[in-house]
Parts: sequence; structure tokens; C-alpha cells
Amino acid sequence: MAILSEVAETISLDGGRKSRGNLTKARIRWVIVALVLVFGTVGGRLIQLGATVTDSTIEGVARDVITASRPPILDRNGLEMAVDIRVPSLFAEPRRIVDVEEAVQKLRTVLPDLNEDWLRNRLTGDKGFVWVKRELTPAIQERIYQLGIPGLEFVTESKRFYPSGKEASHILGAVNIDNQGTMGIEKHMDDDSLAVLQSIGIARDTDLTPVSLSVDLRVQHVMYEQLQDALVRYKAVAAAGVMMDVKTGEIVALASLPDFDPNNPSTLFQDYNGVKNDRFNRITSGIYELGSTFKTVTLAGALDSGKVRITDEFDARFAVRFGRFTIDDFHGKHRVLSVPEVFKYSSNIGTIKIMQELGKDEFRDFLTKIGMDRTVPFELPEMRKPKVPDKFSEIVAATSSFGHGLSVSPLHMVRAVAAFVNDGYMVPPTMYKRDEAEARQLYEPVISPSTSAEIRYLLRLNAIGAGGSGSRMNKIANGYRVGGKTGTAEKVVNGRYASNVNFNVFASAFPLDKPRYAMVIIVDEPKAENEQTGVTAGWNAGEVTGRIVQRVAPMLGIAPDFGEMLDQNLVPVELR
Amino acid sequence: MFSRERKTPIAEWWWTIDKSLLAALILLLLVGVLLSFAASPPVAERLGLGPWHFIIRQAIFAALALPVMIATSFLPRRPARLLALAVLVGSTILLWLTLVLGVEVKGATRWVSIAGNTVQPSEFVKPAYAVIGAWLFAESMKRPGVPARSIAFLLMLVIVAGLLLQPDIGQTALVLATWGALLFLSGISWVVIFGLGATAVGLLFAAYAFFPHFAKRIDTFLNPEGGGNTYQVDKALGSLLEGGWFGRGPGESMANKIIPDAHADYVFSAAAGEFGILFCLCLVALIGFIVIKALIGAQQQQSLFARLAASTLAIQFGLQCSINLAVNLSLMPPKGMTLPFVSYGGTSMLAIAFGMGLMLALTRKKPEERLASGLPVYRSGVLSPAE
Repeated sequence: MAILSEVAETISLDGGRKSRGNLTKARIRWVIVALVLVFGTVGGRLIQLGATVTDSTIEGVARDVITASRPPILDRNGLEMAVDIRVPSLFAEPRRIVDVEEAVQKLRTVLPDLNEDWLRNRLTGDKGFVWVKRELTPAIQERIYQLGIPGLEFVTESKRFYPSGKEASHILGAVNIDNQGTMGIEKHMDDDSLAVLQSIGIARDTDLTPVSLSVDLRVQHVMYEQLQDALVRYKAVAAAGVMMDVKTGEIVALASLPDFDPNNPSTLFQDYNGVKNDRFNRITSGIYELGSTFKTVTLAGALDSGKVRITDEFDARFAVRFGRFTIDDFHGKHRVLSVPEVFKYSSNIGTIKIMQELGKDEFRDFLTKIGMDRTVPFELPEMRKPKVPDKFSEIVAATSSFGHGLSVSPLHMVRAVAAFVNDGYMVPPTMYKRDEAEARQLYEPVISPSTSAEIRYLLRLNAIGAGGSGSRMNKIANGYRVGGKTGTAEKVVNGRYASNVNFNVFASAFPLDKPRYAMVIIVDEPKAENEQTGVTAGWNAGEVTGRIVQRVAPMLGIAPDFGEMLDQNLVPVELR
Repeated sequence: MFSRERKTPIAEWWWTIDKSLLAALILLLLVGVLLSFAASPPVAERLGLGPWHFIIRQAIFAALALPVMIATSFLPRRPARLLALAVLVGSTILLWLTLVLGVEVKGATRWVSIAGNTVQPSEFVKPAYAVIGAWLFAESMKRPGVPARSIAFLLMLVIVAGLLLQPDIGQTALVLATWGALLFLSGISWVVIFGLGATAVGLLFAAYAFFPHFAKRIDTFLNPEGGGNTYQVDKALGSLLEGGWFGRGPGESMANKIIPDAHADYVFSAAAGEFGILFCLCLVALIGFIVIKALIGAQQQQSLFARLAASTLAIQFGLQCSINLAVNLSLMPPKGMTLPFVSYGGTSMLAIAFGMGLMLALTRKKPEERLASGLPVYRSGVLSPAE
């Protein structure tokens, strides 16, 4: 240790203090320099980390998108129809997994439904991130944590939850696992603006303003329940209904059976009684020959043109012939019928005559005027273009007048009926809340108010008059001044109309003294309920309508009124 | 009480203590309590304790550490030296006793149980050795005949042997570094410094060869993708990145909930997630201020012993901090080193309070430097030179 004495030897006692002082002071200075460098490095590293832009994508999808929130969806009264809940999702970092086999076996004790080979494959390799199972429950999360497998972790995701289950499935639609809307109003919201919000990161972990729909969940519930009842009662293959506020265009209820569970969107693709892809929205994306309900359209067009007056009479004694085709009435009277009688007895012959009075091209123009040949502008993305021939031949015009040879959606029909009873003002339907003043901006006059009054009379007449096809409905919903028109279309089976397989429609509106709601109910292939009953629309679609109105009218603030005066006031002056 | 008119001990303390250094240390202590709110509840919950478990204890320890620090800072040089000697003897004995009586925690025997409380004697050894070592080196510089350096060297060997048997590489390195710092400060030639530096590197290689857990850490650090366990490091970095410049706000960080040692070694990273990198920069600046201020204070000491002891304590503190920070920031392989005053740990907090108290005591401005005569006071013969 020569160096240790080296210093000591060179100093005298007096100068020693000074030199020792200078030496140690200089050394401390060196230490200060070194430590400043060390802390500088630490600071520099911090700044470097602060400037690092983290790769926040998960399997190519931005983390923000995965954890993206969606606004709650409320019904018109503020009841929750769709909400976000936070759920843990399990992912793995395969390169951190020490023992893949152990991880697979342990994991399967908690998640036995995972395929063993798939899981082993998934966890093997050098990847930094793979999903294992998404949207689990906190209880499962806890159990997986307890397994203590390295390389397995959770990320919190938003999961969409629909408290009302299947009840409003076709309205709400569904979201995919990344919380993006795939159908229904959820998809519309995304296409509209939410996608933009999410992409700029606003819709993340924040409370978004709830979206209010036009739907009244109480009415929706009743309609859903009655349609389900109809499926059982009439052994029908499908049933659907839509109800619209005639003043505002708001859709108050919309249901279509068979349906799916939005909480489990894959149910949409399940076969229904052996039929594939049968769970679609029949109101918007189903197009049908709506049968005799179309007579309302024909009469509205003819009466509004002034070429046909409500007091006119038409000869319905003989069937109409077009070449080799003959069109006759179902249970026909075969006599001269007044216009209201044509409507009430649903005379095909009378309707053809009325349409011919109007003129086939004028009739075609009227269909364009009320938007029957275009897709209804509507929020739900599941829409199908109607099939209406661009130009009517004599025979097509004739069949079209009573609803055959052209296919439109029930939504087309409800919009038309709403316009016919609403003093002739057509308003575009909407799924969102809309007030009357706002709706008035969108009003489009399609028939005159006086024609509208005549249609109201005809619709009501069909419900109260003896032999009217709506009388069965009216018995159930007595007092609520419902009027409507049935439609019993024979379905095409193997290329020809089959007389025993029907597609039934009931288009209605209530209360007709002060119209507020229009409704279309369809029942596909109903069977007779019992031996005393029939299979035409009045027996099923009509009765369903009656049962719905009977239950929802009081909720909607419509008091029953059995006074005859109300009905008499509906009668046009000419007929009094 | 603090009046200069009467020379009460408190007044004397107040006018001679380095107040900014004291304030910085107290601030650091408070930051430790603040950060325990961010970092420790998830850890406590994982261990099945109440969320407040570590917070309450941290606050209690901080409340105990403050008086320890202030009381120690009152000590004049001689009593300070005596106290350090007593602590050194006591803790070295305990250090060796841990090998016999100790409790094994996480694969190492570092704690002894005294009256129901577990104590880690190695924490107290460090500051005590720094002071006694400084005294020995100072004596040897003044009186070359005395084999004081050899005594310091032997003392270091006794301590290091005990630490290596536990095993505790981190503390070993700190004690070695303390001895190295003393050698450096006492004016060892640069040739030897580089020689010792080479030896240190050699020792690191030896540690790599003989301590498997140490080797594994180095391997993992050099090759993070190599399948080694980088869990802690990843989570710590994740927390830092998550926080960004301004942090996610108290209680908002997700990453710090999964850092295994968020309350101890990784408290800095955990804090970053919640309070942001700017806050961390301030914290680093605070620690840097303490170290630099203490070193400057030490430099101005007339007494060789005080100068050496205070600067060694400061270096020890600075090294421990920088190692912890470097590990947190992935600049260094993981090493069990706590952040003084901030990390959770009763023994370590009290020991650091003791060490910082000594540092404060030894950086106090002596009255002789306050005289404006221009002449060193010891020349006047009024006061005996402290040296």
C-alpha cells in the first residue's frame, strides 16, 4: 500500500492542512461533476420517455377504438334501451409465457369452452399480443388472476348491454366485439357521427350525451308481446308490426318476428324452424304484395284527382277480363257498388274500375308521389328497394290497384296511411325524437284535406259497418275509434298464387276523430285459430291490431269513447 | 427561541444548519407519503391487506423519521462520531446475527425480528460506516503512522462478507462504493482509481459468474426479448409511458396497479403514471439538489473529518437514488435498491433519516467561519481546532 503513504510523506504538518483541504475539495468537485452527469442522464431519459409516442394499437386496432364508449340509447320517456358496461377482456403475450402446456391446462379449468388445440396454437409463438377471450365477467377475471399464469393479462373494454333484451332488437341492431355498430340504430349512429367522434378520441372513457329514440318502450313491449302471441295463436311463420305518429313521423314501436338477441348478435344468423336468414327486419327490409290494403292507396289517388267522387257507383256485377286472365271478387256481391261499398267489401272489380277512371298512368304517378317506388328515407340501414314496375300495362295497373304485382315494405304502407289520415301531409318516418313543429317543416302534401277526411271515413266504415273486414278488430278495440283496411295476399308458391297460403296485412289508424297513430301489422302464413275462424287478415292481423290498440291507447292518453256522434261526424256531407 | 442573543442549543442549531438542505429533505419525505397514496393501495390489496395499510405505515415512519433526522442533526461532531460508532458496532453484530436468526424473505435473509418488528440491519450499517470510515481516513491522512485505512478496509470486509452471505448484492455494492468514495476523496492517485475501477468490473463479472439470480438479471437486461422475466421492468416502463408528461391524475393510472413492487423499488414508475413525467423531473431535481447542496456544504467544512463524512454520506445517498432511478427507467438491470425516503420500508426510512441527520450535523456552519476577522479562528487560540 505504497500509495496510501505517498501523500502523507510529502507534507509537512503546517502545510498539510492546506494541501489536504485543497485535495479533498478538488475531489469533491469531481464527485459533483460526476453526479450532475448521472442525474442529467436520468433527466434526459425521462424526457426521452416523455417524448416517446406509444404504440397504442392492439392487433392493428387502435386501443381507443376497442375501449370506445357509445352513448346510452333511451326511449322517448328516458328508459334505457342500450347502455355501456365495462368488462375485462383476456389477452396473452405468448413470448412471455413460460410453459405453454401448463398455461393451456390451467386456463381451461376456468374457461372450459376454449378449444384446447386452438388455445395451444394461440399461446405458442413469439407474438406480443393475442386475444384469448373477450368480454368476460369480473368473477372469471379474478379466477384467472388466481391461476397466476405469467403472460396473461386483461384490458378493460366497453360492452354494449341491452336491458330490454330481444324486445327492440331490430330497432337497436347490434355492435361487434369492437363496439362498432353493425346494424340497426347502432350502425346508423356510427355512420352518422359517432365514428368520427371515436376516431378523434372524444368518445373514450367519457360520458356521452344519451340518444333519445322515438320509441315508446311500453308500446314496443305490447306490440312485441302481441306479435309473439300471434305466432303461437295462428301458427304463423312470421309476424311484424310498426306504429307511427302521424303528426311527427316518429316510429313509436317496431317489431319483427322471428328476431334475435342484440346482447348476443350471432343469434341473428341462427336458423328459424329450418329457414336460413329469416330473422331480418320485415318492416324495413321485407317487401311484399300488400294485397287489399293497397285499395286505400288507389282510392286516395282517385278521390283526390276529382275524377272519382265518394258518391259515385261502380258496376261490380261481372268479373274483369284481361285477355286470358279473369279477375273476380272474393265473396263478391256482384252488384253495383258505391265507393264506400267497394272499400268495405274489398271489391277487386270495383277498385279496378275506380283505378281505370283515374287512369293507369295517373295511378302510377300517384304511386311516385307518395314514394311507393323508392326506398323510404329512414335511419335504419336495413332497407330494401320496393319493386314497382316503371310503367303500368293495363293488367299490371289493374292488379296493382288491389296490391298485387308490386312489392313494397310495410314501412311504405304505414307512411302512406299516416299521410292519408293526417290531412294529406306526408312526413318522413324517423327513429329519433322529433316534435311537431320540426315535423311540419318536412310535411309534404300528397292529397287534399277533404280527401283525407274521406279516407278516414272509409277506414272507420270498414271497422264499424256490417260486413267490414275490420269489424273483428273493432270489437276488441272498441271505443278507441280505430279504422283500417285488411289485406290478404295469396303467396306465390312454386310460381303460382296459392289460395291457402296467405300473407296478411292490416293497415290502420286511430283515433280517427283526431288521428294520432298509424299502424301496419303483418302476419305471414297464419292458420285458422280454430274451426270457427278464418284465415283472412281480419281474423289475425286485424285481431292483433285490435289487441294492441286496446292496450296501448290508454298509455298514449287516448280515452275510450263509445259515442256514436264521433263516427257520424266522420261521414262526408255528401253521404249524410 | 431562535434568538441570536442567547446561545441556546436550538438557536445555535437554527443559525448553523443548512436550511435549504433541511427543507429539501423534509419535502422529499412528504413526497414519499404523497406517492404512497398512488403506489401502495394496489399492492396492499394484492397482499390481502387493507388499501390504507402501507399509506398509514409510511406516514407513521415518516413521522418517526423526521424527529430522528432533526435530533441527529443537533449532534456536534464528536458525539455524532460516537453515535455512528455505536450504531456501526451494533448493526454489524446484528448483520451477522441475521444469518443465524434472520427471517427469509424472497430468497434472502436480510431481516431480524426485534420485539415483534423486523429490522434490516444492513440499512443502518451504511451511514454508520460512512461516518466511521471518514473518521478513520481523516486520521490516517493526518497521522500517517496510524493504520487507520487498514482498519477501515477490514471493517469494510467484515460488513461486505456479512452482506454477501445474506446475499444482498445491492447493499454490498453500496458499501463497497462508500469505501471507494472515501479512497477517492482522501486523495488516492488516479492510477489506483483506474486500477480499482478495473477490479470493480472484475467483481461484477465474478458476481455474474457466481450468483445465478444476478446473472439472470443481467442476461434479461441485455436481451429483453430473450424470454427472461422482464415483467417488473415492462410494467414500470408501461406506467411511465402511460402517464405521459402530465400523468393521468391521482388514482387514474392503470399500469401502476400491476407493478409488483409499486410501493418499494418501483415507486418512481408508479408515480409517473399518475403524476406525469414533469413531476418526475421535479423529483429528480429535488434529489439532485439535496446531493449537490450537501456536497457543496461538505466542501466548505474546515474539518477534514466533517468534510469527508458529509460528502461520503451525500455520495451514498446520491448513488442509491441514481441506481434506483436508473433501474426504474430501464437504464440498468434491476437491482433491489429503494428510493431513499420515498420507497416504503421502515428500517430504511429510519436509517436514511439517521444518515441524513448526520449529514446535516456535519454540514453545519461552524461559528469560526462566521467571524469576519479574515483570520482562521483556530489561529487565535480561542477555540481549539476541530481537526
